[in-house]
Amino acid sequence: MTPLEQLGREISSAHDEELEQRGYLGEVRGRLLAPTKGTSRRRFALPALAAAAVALLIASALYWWTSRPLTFDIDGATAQPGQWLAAGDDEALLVRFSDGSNVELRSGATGRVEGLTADGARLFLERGEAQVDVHHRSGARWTVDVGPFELTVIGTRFDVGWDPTSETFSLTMHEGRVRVSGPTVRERVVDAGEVLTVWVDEARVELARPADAQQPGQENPLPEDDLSSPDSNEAGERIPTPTGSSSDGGVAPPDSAHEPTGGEVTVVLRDGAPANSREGVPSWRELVRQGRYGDAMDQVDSHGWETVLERATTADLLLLADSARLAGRLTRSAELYRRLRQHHPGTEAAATAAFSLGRLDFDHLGAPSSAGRWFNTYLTERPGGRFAREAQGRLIEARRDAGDADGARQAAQSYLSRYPSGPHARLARSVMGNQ
Amino acid sequence: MMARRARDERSLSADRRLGAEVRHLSYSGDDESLAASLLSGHPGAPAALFDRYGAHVQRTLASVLGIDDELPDLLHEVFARAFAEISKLEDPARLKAWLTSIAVFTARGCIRQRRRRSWLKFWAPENLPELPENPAPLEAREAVRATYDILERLPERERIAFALRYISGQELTEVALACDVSLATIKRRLRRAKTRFLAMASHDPALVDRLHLQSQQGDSP
Repeated sequence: MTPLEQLGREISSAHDEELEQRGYLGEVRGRLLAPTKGTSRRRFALPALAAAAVALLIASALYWWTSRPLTFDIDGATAQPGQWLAAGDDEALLVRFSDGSNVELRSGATGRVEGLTADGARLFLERGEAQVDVHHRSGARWTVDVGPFELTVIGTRFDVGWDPTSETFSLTMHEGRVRVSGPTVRERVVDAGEVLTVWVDEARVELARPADAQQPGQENPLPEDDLSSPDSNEAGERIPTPTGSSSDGGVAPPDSAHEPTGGEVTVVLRDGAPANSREGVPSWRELVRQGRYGDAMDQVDSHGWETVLERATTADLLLLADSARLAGRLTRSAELYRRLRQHHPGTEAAATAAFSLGRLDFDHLGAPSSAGRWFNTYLTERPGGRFAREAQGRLIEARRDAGDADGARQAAQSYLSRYPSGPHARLARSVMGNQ
Repeated sequence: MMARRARDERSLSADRRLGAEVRHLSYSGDDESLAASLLSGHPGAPAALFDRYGAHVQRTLASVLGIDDELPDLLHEVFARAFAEISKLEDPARLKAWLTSIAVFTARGCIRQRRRRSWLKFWAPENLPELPENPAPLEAREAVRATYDILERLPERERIAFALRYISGQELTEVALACDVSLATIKRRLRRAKTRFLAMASHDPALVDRLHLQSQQGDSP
């Protein structure tokens, strides 16, 4: 038997053992053959059919209810899937989704939103870096095409990059966990605080774990001197000798003095500066990207609001206002939304601010009258806007809660004429029924 | 045969009217009669086909693609396709080879799809299955990983031929049948695949010693 045949046989044995453990055969057998099990059910056929029909109706209604696709805007302007997106040389491009998720294409990055579903979106990152912040909700499903890698994300926030020229993939996890599969890495979990870099051409992987992201109970990071010695990670696996490291604590660049390691996964524990920091002081935008909304507000406080606002674009203003809201600084948030409307009237962002002000009043400040006025403002400015249906529905709620029965009925009538099967349709009919 | 089937059906109906639970006996017979039973809609035939060749198809898929969470779906797809297309089986005696070729076709589609579109996927944590622990020793896992890293870089046809021959351990004639090419073609394809594989393996410390290769570390770009 040749060494190659011996290797193949060992792989086959390893496969058999793993497949036995995974138990796919039984699972698939059950799935394939379950519908054909021959049991006596004929006498239940009619009731079962009736029940199935009812279930189908309910399922259809539920499906319709929950299958509204997301929408998105680019720097405040409504956009459509398929549109090519390119961030400028010196500025980022912010893609905001209606479920609260954001994707920021960093300067020089290109990509597009390929499709939208009720549960998420399909994105394509052609080149460059993007920060992805997926709003966590049950059943969310997002996909991003980014080179030859597949990541299963357990969590919501990370930076990802792909350089097709050098075939370098990078992933910086800020929150949660990611399962990565692709060339060289095969399948690997990356946790919050870890930075994964893959040089596809060299079949080399590096997983850096900055010291500030260590798990409780984990040993102190190895000093740089120890990196040359083989060691074990927490799973007891051999950690191959890293062939290079950067002195700044980040991931070593591909052109540094690395030798190819033939695709071995190198786990490097070392001291490191937090990802994305520049000269140790993250900007408010970086803090927002990291979900540290309170810290971002403190950062703007320390710089001075007027200084920041003087240079703020409409997208910045909207981001600041949203961040203030998420940080619980509701008064500041309302001020920023109003400022946006004042300084950029007639823009999509200004209309969005009106809708957000309505939500702020209704959800947080218990002011339904004011909320109703803002929802109405939004509808006046953007009758076919992406929040129009939601605004029309919330207008019914706001007017009803404010005790404006006539106004609520009027809003309900308008809602039913436009969205007879919309999510607020039942409420609208109920309001109409109280005439 | 039709008369017997009608009699069986009447008998089953009678049993059901009496409230009896109908259990189908496991199917026995050679591939030819199994194929005929599938064609005629014998209720036990699909299970018999899966029980007979499920492990083989799974091994074939795993050898070409490695093991991942997509494997059960692909296995399901192969058999669903086989059940649906049984009428296209030209030689019932070659049932196993026919299934292997469907598995290869399915694996090829998967490779193409993965190469064409590689996705970042986001799922809510509760929807994400945990990775099972791989029971193999570390060195064996490293060898498996290194082998599939190289296979991913081989041309699709060579990857499939190599995996079927060296990992799945199939005979040359079986590989040729599964790939729907002549014996001469599959030999040429395997020769190219082997040359490429060994060249790349010489850069991988996990394979150099196993394959008795001269280490070429540092020579790669």
